Amino acid sequence: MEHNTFDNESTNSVASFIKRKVLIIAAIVFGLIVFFCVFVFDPFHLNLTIRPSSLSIEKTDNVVSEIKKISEFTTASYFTEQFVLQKRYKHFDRKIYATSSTGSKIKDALGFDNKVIGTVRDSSETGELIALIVKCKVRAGFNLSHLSEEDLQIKGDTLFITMPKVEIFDVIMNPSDVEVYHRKGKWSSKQVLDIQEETKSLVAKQAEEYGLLETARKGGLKRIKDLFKTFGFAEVVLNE
Amino acid sequence: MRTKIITLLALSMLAISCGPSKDKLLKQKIQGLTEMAELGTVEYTVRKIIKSDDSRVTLGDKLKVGDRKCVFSCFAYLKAGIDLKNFSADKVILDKENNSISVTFPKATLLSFNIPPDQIVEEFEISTKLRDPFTVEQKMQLLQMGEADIKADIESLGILADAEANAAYFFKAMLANFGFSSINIAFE
Repeated sequence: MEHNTFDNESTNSVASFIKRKVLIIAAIVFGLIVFFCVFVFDPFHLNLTIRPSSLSIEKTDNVVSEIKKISEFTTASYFTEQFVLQKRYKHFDRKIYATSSTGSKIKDALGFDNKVIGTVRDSSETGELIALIVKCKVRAGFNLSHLSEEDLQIKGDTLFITMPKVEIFDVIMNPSDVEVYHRKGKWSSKQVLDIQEETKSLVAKQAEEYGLLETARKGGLKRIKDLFKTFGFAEVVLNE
Repeated sequence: MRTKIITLLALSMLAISCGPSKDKLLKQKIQGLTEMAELGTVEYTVRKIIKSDDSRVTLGDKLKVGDRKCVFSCFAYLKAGIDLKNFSADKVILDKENNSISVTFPKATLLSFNIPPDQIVEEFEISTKLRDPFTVEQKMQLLQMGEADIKADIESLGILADAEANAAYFFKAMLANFGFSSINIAFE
């Protein structure tokens, strides 16, 4: 009899335990449904939702701070699209230990092993990196504002021009030309902008190696000759 | 002794090849050269403040979850002028007897648009309460929006009218030097 009473009590307590758990789970599920209905999806238009924030900028003025007269005759441009990978390193001082020619350790003045003879600056990767895909344009040509009256001489039907040297006018990498392809770790906007600036310098050198200035010079001289011939000159002689 | 020299040489080669602390790998994907004939006659410097106020609110705009603000300043360099790629002799009317010349150039266009990275400054950033700070990708997006905003405003800046006026002045001065007394410059 006592045994049966004990069995009945334990069965009842298990049942009530399960019932309590089920009620708690049901309450949680119901709460989640109410939360999503009211605060996220808002099917009843209660206007109590958390407004998702979309990235936007406020309208601000574009202020012209300077206007300059220029006479830049751009005659060639170099375009490139490149992948730039920047890794982060941590720097530390690495000790250099003295070893004999046989490779055995040399003791220091106190008789301890591994006499330190110096330190050297070393670095190791931290695992943080950023990968960018960038587009860059380099424009080059003749700056005609360097031409003076003495550089233009007319003899009969022939025009003689002493041309300035060809030069790079712009190396262009705008925010829309940069894509952050992959990032590991925290990188500030200043660090990314510094990477862009360094890449621009490298691209300008690449452009020169690719022949930008020579192409700008040859093509530009031909264009200038053709242009001035349309103004009535039989011959145009360009001196560099 | 020989082993020592070889070891020293190998170590010095390694030291040279390690390079500077920053490891930059530039892999060229696409590159090309284009010939052109663009005469730039005016440059505008435009200063822009890029502001983002990304405050998140809820409960009918009564409860703020947190603020997230960011401000950048930048300079944009706009160059405009005329594209002489298709310019030909049939655009020039010469009258040598009367010493007059009439030239029709193409209408001025924007030739280059440049926002140098070293002239972009992050002036201010704040994120409060439950908000995460802006990621670098989001900041680049804000800069791209600022760039688009300047580009959308180009017509109203008056740069194209200035470019044509300067081009006319440039050629009038040059053609006067060539001896022409009557000079007419038009754009179409």
